[in-house]
Amino acid sequence: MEPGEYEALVARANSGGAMELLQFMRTHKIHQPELVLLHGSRLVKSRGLGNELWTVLEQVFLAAAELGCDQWRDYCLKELTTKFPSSLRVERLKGIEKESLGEWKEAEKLYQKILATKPEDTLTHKRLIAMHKQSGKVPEAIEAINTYLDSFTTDSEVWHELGELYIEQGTLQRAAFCFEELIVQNPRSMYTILTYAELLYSTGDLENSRKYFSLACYVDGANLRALWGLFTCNMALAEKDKSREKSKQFQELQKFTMEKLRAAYKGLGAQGQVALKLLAAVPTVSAS
Amino acid sequence: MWRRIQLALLPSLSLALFADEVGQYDWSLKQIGKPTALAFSGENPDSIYAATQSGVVASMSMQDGSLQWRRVASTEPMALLRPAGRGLISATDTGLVQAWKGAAGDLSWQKDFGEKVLDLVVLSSSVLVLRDKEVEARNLAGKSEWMVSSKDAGAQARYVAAAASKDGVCLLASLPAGGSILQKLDLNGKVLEKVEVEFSVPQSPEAEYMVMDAHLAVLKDGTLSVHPICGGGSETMELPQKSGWRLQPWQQTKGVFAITDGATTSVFSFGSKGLRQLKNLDQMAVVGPVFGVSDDETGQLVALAMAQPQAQIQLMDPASGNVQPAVKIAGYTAAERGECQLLLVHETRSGEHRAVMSAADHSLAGIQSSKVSWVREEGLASIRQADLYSRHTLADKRSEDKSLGAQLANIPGHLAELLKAPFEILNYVSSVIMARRQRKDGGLPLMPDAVIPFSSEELRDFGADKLILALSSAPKLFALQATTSEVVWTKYLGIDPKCSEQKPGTGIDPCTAWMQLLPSSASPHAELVVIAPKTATKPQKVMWMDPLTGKVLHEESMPNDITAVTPLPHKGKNLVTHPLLLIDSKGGLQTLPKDATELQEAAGNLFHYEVDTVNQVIKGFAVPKAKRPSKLMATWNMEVGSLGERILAAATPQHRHWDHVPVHIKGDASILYKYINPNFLAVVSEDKNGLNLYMLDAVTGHLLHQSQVAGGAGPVHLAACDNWVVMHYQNPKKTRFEMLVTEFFQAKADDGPWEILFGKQGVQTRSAHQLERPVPLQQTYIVPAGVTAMGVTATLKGITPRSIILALTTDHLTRISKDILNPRRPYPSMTPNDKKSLPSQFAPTKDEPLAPYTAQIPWRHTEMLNYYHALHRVTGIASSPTALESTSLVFAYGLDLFFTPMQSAKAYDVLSPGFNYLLLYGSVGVVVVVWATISMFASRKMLQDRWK
Repeated sequence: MEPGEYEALVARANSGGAMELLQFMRTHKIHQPELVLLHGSRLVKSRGLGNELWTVLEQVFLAAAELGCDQWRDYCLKELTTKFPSSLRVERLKGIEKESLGEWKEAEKLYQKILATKPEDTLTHKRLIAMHKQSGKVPEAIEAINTYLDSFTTDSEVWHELGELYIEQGTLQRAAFCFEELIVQNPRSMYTILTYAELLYSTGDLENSRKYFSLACYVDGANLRALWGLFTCNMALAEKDKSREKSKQFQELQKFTMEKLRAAYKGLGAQGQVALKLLAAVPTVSAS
Repeated sequence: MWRRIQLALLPSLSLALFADEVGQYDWSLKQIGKPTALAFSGENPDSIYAATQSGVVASMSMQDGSLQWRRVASTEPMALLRPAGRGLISATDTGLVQAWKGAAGDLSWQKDFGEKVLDLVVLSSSVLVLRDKEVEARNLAGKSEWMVSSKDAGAQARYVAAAASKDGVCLLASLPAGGSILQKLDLNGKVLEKVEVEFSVPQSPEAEYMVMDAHLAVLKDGTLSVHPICGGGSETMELPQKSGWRLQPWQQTKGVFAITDGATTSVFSFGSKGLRQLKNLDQMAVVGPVFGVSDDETGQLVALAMAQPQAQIQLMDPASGNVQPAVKIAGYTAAERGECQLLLVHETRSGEHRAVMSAADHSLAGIQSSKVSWVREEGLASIRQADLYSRHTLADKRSEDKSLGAQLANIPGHLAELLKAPFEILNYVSSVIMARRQRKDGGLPLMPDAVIPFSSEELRDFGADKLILALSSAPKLFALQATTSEVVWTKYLGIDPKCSEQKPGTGIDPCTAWMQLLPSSASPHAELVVIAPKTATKPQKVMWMDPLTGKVLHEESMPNDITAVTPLPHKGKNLVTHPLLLIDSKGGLQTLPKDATELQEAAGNLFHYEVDTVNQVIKGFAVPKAKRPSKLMATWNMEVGSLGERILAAATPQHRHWDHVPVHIKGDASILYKYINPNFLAVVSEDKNGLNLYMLDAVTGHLLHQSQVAGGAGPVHLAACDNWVVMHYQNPKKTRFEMLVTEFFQAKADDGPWEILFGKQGVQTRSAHQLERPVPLQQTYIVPAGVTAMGVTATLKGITPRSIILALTTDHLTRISKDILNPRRPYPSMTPNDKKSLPSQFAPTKDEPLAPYTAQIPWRHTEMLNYYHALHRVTGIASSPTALESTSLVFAYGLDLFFTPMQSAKAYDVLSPGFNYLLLYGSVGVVVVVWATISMFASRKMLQDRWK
């Protein structure tokens, strides 16, 4: 997506560009249901969309369900049901409708029914997980995710979701396992590396945490979260093992980290000065 | 055994050669020529027999005029035709007597007497052949039974008439000193009695006599007398005016004959009641017999036919002179067909009358109860000139007003045309898609035997929509639709009955018609200029006609003493009445229309030549550059007569109006420049050593080339085109026919294609005086047969190799490619060097596909254009291009007509005629439908998949 491209499309939507806008929003997963409802409803009324009509109807349905525009939601669902009476995709939309009405049981039944017919339907699986999460049933959600991951082990999104749920539950070891999976799938992701490093730090595995912070600094040397993580990790390790402080490698690492931090905060005004002062207050570094 | 089977298969294979192509594009018309005698036989009451001037005896259906059989019996005109028993007896002018079977036309017997047969008298079981010196009786099987010599009658007597009497035969012989001898013979030829009769047969040219039904009618000095041959009282009658009368030919009308003075007709009866005038008509009329159900009916009626102004037929009882009411015949007028000549009526069992009538325009018409049921235009059997003219011309675009106001005023018209355009395109598309198209214009008359070619519409679409404009010796103009043989229009020009019809067509004979398309037949808009011969009442005149409709646009009377007519160069200022230059016998110049300014404009650039076959001299003239040129200026003269030579033929290049290729490209891409000279004239003369072929420039009189053909003899046929001349002649010494081809090239080195493509050589007008001498290349070939006519194919751009069309004496029409008749064909390697005299510049290169020279040119059966239609006595061949470069139209005329499109180098620019357009369009349609259906299904399937 080019900068300003989306805004231009929004501006053009009223003068015949609604279709492109909706397509763009679908492609780039832009979540603005009120815009979808505004332009989509107009497009649906205008007809002449060909096969695109059904996609737009689905898009409008999702937006209406989210915004609580019941009439539009029901209209879109009715149209789609009439057109595709035996479609699982429409069945899933019916589940979403139930969700929007708060009929969780009904929705779950629908989802289970879909999964019984088509166990490989990942979207329904995810919808089910989302529904559990939405209704506050985290253990059910975790269970559903685990069931899902038994079949689809490479779905990084779900691993991430599971990791998040474990963090939410406070089972950091399990969360760290999830992030390990994520790192295996995408070893250069700063977010995954940093989160994993922080999880390790939280679980007290300082040595491994330092390694992963170092990896993060290696990937992006200017990342403050990585630098502060490494700095904090170093401090914690120094606290834990005093002899380490004297090792040359440790000192060089800490020095490097601080220099990087100083360089990053230099010239950032008052906030930068605060950070610099904080760094200056670090005793071990100043002693060296 | 196997060999026998192979041999048995051979004939069937050769019969099947191109049989499926016959009648696809070509048509052929079998004709009989101008009828000279009609006959009817009770044995075949549905048939009528005719003998013609073309030496043909034929049987036709009374019902529709179609030929039942036709025998081209002689090259001489037929004079007599008599039904005899179940057959017919005919005699030609030169004494060839033939007996035919009536049903099938088989020749029973024939005897050439070598002298004129005066009459054929059919007896009960034999026929008398009457000649000057001898009368011979032959039985119907042809066996000579007896003969009597005129010496028996007198020393220098000559027989003039014969008649059957009750118990024998009467012969009348005329004596030179005056008086006549009557011999009475029995049926075995024994002379029973010899008496001198008082009346004499007139010898003077002013007097006329005619033998009819045992009577001799004599017309002399305004006195008509009828003498019974077998004895009895003569009758005489004084006519109201002394001179101008002539006897109408007697057509076996028992007891009735007619005389005419050109304006009125008197009908007389003779016999038992004496000579009586039955009727006096104030117009030309003809008396014909009426054949009833039984032949020997006494008191038989006779029929009278009159043509003016509308034709009518009247039945008359010869005994009483009473006439029945006249039956007017719709659609048959004297203006269209001229006076009636022969008449024959048949009364059927149902009492209906069917008449067959021939007219001065040589037509033969079948009439059934006041309607013309069929017409055979036999004038087409004697076509003198023919040309083809494209029908795709818009006559109304002749004069366009270029002014702005006029153009603005035309805008609504143009808009209307624009609106019409989509419909025209739709019509065109539908016509292309529909394999069998509707005929555009129907209802044009067809000849009785004509069959429209089954793919004629297809040919029309390829630019063959042309008119064949033909001038017959009747004289009558015909415009035939080239692709179908339908008669689009005709015009009878009329002729003075005193004119002899067989005069040679040199100079402007007042009795001969002449026509030409001007400015040319290649021009998009041309006029047909016709010189009509003088008629009994009107002098010779010149007519400018619209070739598409036959409408006379302008007419002027022809000045006297004109020897040549030539079109004047015309710059299109006034397209109606193309000006003509008339040259009189003293070289004086006149124009038609009078004082045309074109003569003055063209003076100095206009040349004229004459090939005088009487004085054996070729003369060249120029129109002097003067304000008002009045006389031709002689510029050159070539007297071949003084060398003891006699001119046989002359030719100028054909198809000059169409494009041609000015160069020949050799195998190594080097160029030979053809010597193209539109003023080129080839003349063949004969002397005691053989033939001489002279090639001249008709403007300057320069002799470009001369070649002597030792031992060559006539008949000579010449054809010239582009840069070559082909001569067909006989070599009696070697008893074979040969063809001499001479081709001219410029002695110019090849300077590459630059000048041809970008230079101005092509558009420069060059004076004939500045042309360089060409290099002639010559070769002789042996051909297996004699020819009667030669033609050259014409194509639009002249790119397709030309073919020479030959009408053979064997009734075939064949072609020889000019590539085969090529003087540049290399000699085989073992030939002695002295023969290999071709200059190296013109010698063929290795890559050039020229076959080595072989003297003999065989006829190829695959190149016989006429399939199985025998073409008798072809006298001329006309050719014209179509819109397709590969195809030219060939029209051969003579006794038979034949039209065919011809492809000299195969059909390289058109799909084969059998190409299945329907399958092509059908398969494309199916593909489109399948594609649309599959796309629809795919789109639906994709949507269903996305919404599973």
